[in-house]
Amino acid sequence: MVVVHLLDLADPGWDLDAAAAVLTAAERERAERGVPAVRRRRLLVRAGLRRVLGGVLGVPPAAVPLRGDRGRPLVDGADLGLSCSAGGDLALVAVAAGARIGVDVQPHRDAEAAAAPAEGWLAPAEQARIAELPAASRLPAVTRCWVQKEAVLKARGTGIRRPPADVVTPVADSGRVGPEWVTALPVPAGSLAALAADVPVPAPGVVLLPPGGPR
Amino acid sequence: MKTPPPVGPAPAGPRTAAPQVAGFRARAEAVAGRPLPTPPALHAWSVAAPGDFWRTFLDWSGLVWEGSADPVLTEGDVRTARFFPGVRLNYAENALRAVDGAGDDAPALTSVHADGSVERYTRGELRAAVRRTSRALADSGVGPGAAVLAVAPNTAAVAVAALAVAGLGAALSTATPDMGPSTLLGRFGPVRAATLLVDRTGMARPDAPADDVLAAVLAGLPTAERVLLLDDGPLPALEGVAVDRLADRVAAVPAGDPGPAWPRQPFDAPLWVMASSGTTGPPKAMVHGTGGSLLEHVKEHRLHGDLGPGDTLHFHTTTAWMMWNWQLSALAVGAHVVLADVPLTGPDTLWRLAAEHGVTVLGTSPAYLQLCQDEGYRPRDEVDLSRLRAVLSTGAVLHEWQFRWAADAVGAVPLQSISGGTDIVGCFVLGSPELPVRPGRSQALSLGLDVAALDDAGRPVLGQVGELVCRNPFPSRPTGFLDDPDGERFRAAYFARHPGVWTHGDRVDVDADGSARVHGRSDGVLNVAGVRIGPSEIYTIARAVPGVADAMAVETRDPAAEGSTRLALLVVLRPGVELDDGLAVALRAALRREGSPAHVPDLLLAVDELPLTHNGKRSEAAARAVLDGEPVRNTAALRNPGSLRGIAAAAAAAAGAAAAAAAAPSPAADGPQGGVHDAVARVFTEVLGAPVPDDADFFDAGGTSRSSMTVLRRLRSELGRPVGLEVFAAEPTVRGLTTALAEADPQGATVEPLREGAAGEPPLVLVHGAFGDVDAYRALVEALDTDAPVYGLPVPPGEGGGVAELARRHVETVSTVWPAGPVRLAGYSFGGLVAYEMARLLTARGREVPFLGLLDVLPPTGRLSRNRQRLYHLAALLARFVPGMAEDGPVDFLRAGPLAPLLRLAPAPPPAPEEAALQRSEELFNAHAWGPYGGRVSYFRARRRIPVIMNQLAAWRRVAPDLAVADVPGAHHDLLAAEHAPGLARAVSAALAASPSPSAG
Repeated sequence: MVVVHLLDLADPGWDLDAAAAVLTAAERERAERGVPAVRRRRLLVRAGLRRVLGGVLGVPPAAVPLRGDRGRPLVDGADLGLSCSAGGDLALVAVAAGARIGVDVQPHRDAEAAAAPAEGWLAPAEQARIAELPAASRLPAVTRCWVQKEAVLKARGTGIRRPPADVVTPVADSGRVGPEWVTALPVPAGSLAALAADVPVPAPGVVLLPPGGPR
Repeated sequence: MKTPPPVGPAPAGPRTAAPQVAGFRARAEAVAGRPLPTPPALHAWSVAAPGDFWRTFLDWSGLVWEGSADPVLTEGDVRTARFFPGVRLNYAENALRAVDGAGDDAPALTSVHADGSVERYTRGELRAAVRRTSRALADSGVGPGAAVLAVAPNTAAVAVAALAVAGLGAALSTATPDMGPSTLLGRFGPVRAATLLVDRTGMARPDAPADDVLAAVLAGLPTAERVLLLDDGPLPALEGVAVDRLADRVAAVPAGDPGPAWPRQPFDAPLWVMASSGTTGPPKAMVHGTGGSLLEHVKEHRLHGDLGPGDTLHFHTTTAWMMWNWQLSALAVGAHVVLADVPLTGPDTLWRLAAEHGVTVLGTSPAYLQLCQDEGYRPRDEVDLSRLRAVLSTGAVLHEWQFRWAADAVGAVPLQSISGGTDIVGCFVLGSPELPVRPGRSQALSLGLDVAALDDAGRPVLGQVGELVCRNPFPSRPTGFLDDPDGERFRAAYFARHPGVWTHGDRVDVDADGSARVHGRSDGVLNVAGVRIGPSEIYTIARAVPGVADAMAVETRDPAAEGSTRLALLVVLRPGVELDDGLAVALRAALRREGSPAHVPDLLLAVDELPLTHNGKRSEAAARAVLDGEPVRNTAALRNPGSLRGIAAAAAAAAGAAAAAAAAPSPAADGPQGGVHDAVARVFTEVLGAPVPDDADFFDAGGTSRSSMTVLRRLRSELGRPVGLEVFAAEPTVRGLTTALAEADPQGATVEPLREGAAGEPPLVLVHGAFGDVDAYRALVEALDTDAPVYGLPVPPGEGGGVAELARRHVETVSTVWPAGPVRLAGYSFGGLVAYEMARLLTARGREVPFLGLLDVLPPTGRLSRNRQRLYHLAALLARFVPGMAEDGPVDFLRAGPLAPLLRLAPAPPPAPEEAALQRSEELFNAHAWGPYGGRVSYFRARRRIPVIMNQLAAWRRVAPDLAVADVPGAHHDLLAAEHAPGLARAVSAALAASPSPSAG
C-alpha cells in the first residue's frame, strides 16, 4: 500500500508560518539555512509529510515521531517507507506500509537532458536503449531515467552517495531495477516522476495535497 | 553567317599518345609566340592573354558554331564581361556531333539501373533518340527560350530528354524525385516552366504516395501546363495539367522523321538553371549559358582530364548536382558516359560498376573513398580495374592518407581532387595529365581562370590559405539569377567582397607549382573540435550581454593538444566595465543558453579594440596569428595594428594566470584565491545562477541532486581532472570541495593479473572501463588465443574519470611494473580512450607499443560535452560532398538530401543533435584534448551499430592514420558479453598475432 501526495509549491495559499509551526526546531533550522525558495520547499514538504503521517498514525502533525537518518526520513516504531522529493514547483510525499520506497520528481528540460551523456550518470545500456527510441521520446526518456535512478537510490537509502550510473533503469515507464520495481507517477505535464519500491506497485495514483489539507 | 572555322578536332588517340593538352599547347605556343613548356606556364599565359586563350581553345576544340568569334569578350569585369557575343551554337548538336575516333558505332551512353538492367546507346542511336525526343517535345510546345523541369534519377531517359531540350534551345532544370515537395519547389519555382518531365521512382514519401507528392509539386508551380512521364507507371490523375508519357509521344513520331532543326543559340542563351542555396535568403536560381557551359566543360574534360574517344566516364552523381551536367558534356569530347541509378550498397558498388563497364575515369567523393578504406575494401584485389586510368574526387577535402590508401588499394592511377561549384558549373582546381599528383592537393588551376588565394588585405598569397577568387572573366560565370531584375542578388553573392572579382566563398591555398588545396568554406564558419559555428551567432549573443560592446570569435590552436583547436573570444567592453568573474559567467552562460556548449569559449580575453583592416573589415586572421604566436603577415593592412599588442598582452596575462592556477598545489599554498577555489566558485555560481558564500551548502543554495551532476561535469572540465561524486557529496560547499580536491591524492593503481602467459612475451594490458573494474574483460580474456600474459589495469582509488590524468598515472604504473620492453594495450569504450592516451605517452617516452586495441571506442573528436558534434561532423562531411552545395546549412542539406541516395542516408532521418550526444556514450567524462598517434591501431568495431556512427572511423583516422578495422559481433554495450566474447577474442587474437613480434632481448 503506497500513498503518494503531490504538493504544488507555487500555490499562493500555502501558509509558511503554519507549516513551520508543526516542524521540530531542527527541521526548522534546516529549512532556515536555505535560500528563500529552498526554505519554502523544505518547510512545505516537511510539514506535508507530517500532515500525511499524522493522518496515517492518528496524531497531530507536530506529534509525528519523525526523524532523519542521513537525510532519509524515518518514523520510529512503525513499518513505514517514507520518501519525499521536490523539483521545480512540484513536491511529492510518499508513504508506504511495509515497503521500502523512493520517489523523485523532476521538471524536464531539453537542454539539461541533452547534457546528460556528458555528465556520466547514464549507463551504456541505457544510452543504447534511448538511442533506439523515436527522436521525440529521447530527451524525456533521459529525465525519466534520472527520476527512476533517484527513486531507486532513495529506496535503497543511499541517495546520490552511490553513482547513479550503477542504477540501470529499464528505459520504460515501469520495470525492474535489481531488487526494486520502478513505475511512473502521474504528475502535471512538464515534469516526470517515478516511484521505486521493493515490492511491485501497480499503477499508483497521486493525491493532491492542497494548502487546506487533503480533500 | 559564317561557316565554322575550318578546324577539325584535335586527334585524341589512345592513352599511350601524348595528352590532348600537348596538342593544344602547340597551338597556344604559335599564338603566344613563345614556348609554354609547363602546365603553370600554359596557365599563366591563359590568364595573361585570356582573349587569345579562349579564341585558340574555341578553334582547337572543334566545336560547331556560327557567327563571329570576334570579340572574344566584351569590356568589363568578371561580373559584366560577356564572352563571344557573336557566336551562336547548340549544346546538343555539339554533344552528339561526329568526333574523330568516336563514330556512330562508338558507345555513347550506358544506363545501369537498380534492377540490374542496362540500356546502351551508340552515338548514332543516341543522336536518333534525341532527335525523335526533340520532335515529341517540340510537338508539346517546347521551343527556343522555353524552360523545362526534370525530376528523375540518373537514367538514360532523362539524359536523352535533357539533350533533346537543349537541342530545341530551351533551358532545363533537373532534380531528384526524393527531394520532397518543398525542396523541389524551392528549386523549380523561379523557373516558371510549362513542362515537367517526371520519373516517379523514389518520389514517394513515408506519408505520401508518389502521385500525391507530384500533385503537391504541381500545386506550387502555377505555370506548369503539362507533365511528361519518364517512368512507365500508371498515368496519375492530376487536375489542370495534361499528363502523357514521353515514350508514347516519341513512339508516335514517324519513323523517317529527322527531328526538328536544332537552332544555334546565342552564346549566353540559357542552357541550365541550377539551384544553390545561400547562407541567407531563398535559394539562388542561377542561369548558365549554352556557350559558357559547353566551352568550360570541353576545356576541363580535354585539357585537364584528357578525356576523349575511347574513354568511359562514370561520375557518381545525381541529377540534382552540377556534376551531372558536367559528366553529360563528356559526350561532346567523344567519351562514353555511364549513368547509374544504383544505390550504394557497400564499398564495392562503384568499383564493380567500373569493372563491369570498362570505366576508364571514375568520379567519386572523399566520403566514398573513406568508406572503402574504413571497410577495409581493396578494389584492386576484388575487381578488374585494368581499364581504369584515373579516379576523380570532389565535394570535400581529400586527405593525404586517402591518396596513400588509393595508391595501395586501387592501384597506380592518378587520384585527382577537383573542386569548383554549382555557381560556375565547373571547377577552379583540377587535375593535369602532365603532372604528378601531390597527395592532398589538386594538381592545377583551371586554365583561363585567374584563380588566386587572397589574404585579408586582398592581396594574393602563395603557400598560405586565403580566400578563393577568380580575378578575370570566365565563360561559365552564370549569366545571372532569376528573380533578380537589377542583378543585386547576383552582385551581392559573388562581388560584394572584392568588386569586379569573383569571390567564391571557399578557402584555398595555391602553391608556386600551380597546385592547390581547397580548405572548405570561407564564410567565417568556425570549426571548433569538429563543431561548425557561425561567428555571427557568437557575436550576436555576446553583444547582447550587458557591458559587451563588441566581440570576435577566433579558432586558435590548443597549446595543450597538438592538432586541436579551441575557441577564443575577444571582447571589447563598454567604458568602465571590467571582465570580472561575474561578467565571464554571464557571457559563458548566455553563449551556452542561446548557442550551445560548443559556443562557449575556452579562452575569454578582454581587449581594447579588435583588429580592423583599412576598409573596416574585421581581421580574424590577424587575431588568430597573434593567439597562435605566429608573425602577423600583413600588419600594414590593418588600420589599428596596435590592437594586436593588446591581444598579445591579454593572451599572455591569461596564460600566466592559467599557469599559476595549474601550479598551485593546494589552496593552503596559494590562498583562497587559488585556481581550484576559483574554478569551484565559478562552477557553483554558474549552476546556481548567483555567487554563493564559500561555506554555503550547495543544496541550501538551491542546488538539487540533478544539478549536482552538472556541477561535477563542469568541475571535471574546468579542472581537467576527475571529480568523484563522493568528493562532492562529502561537503558540498565551495570551501569543502576546494579542500577535498586539493587534498585528493589517490594511491597509485596496481595491475591485476588476468591470465598467465609465456615467458618473454610482452604483456597485454587491458585498461579498466568507465566504472573502474576489469572484470568485464574476463570472458574475452578466457577466449583469447595468445601467449601474452594478460593484466588488467583497474582504476586507481578515488578516480572517477579524466582521461589524461588517468593515462598519465597508468603509465607510471606500467613503467614501474614493466620498466622496459614492449607493452601491448587494449581497452573497451572509455578504457580504450585511456589506452590510446597511454600509448601516446609511452611511445613519446620511447617505449614500444606493438599493439593498441580499441574495442568499439567512439572517436576522439574533441570536447566531449559538445552535444552537436557528431551531427555536425557528419553534416559537414556530407555538405562538403558537393561543390556549390556546401553553403547549404548542414541540417538543411541533410533534410534536402539531394545526395542522400549516394550514401544510402535516405532511409535514416538525420539524427537529432540529442541522439548524436546520446550515441557518444559514457566516455563523455571529460573535456579531453586529443592528440595524434602515429603507431598502429587495431580497431574492433561492433557489427551492430547505430547507422550514423559511420563517420566515427574517419574521426579516429584523423588522429591515428594507421588504423586497421575488424568487425566483431554484438553492439557497443554488449561487445564484451559472454555470447560475443569468442568472436571478439578471435579478432583480437588475430590482430595480436599480426602485430610486430617482440624484438630479441
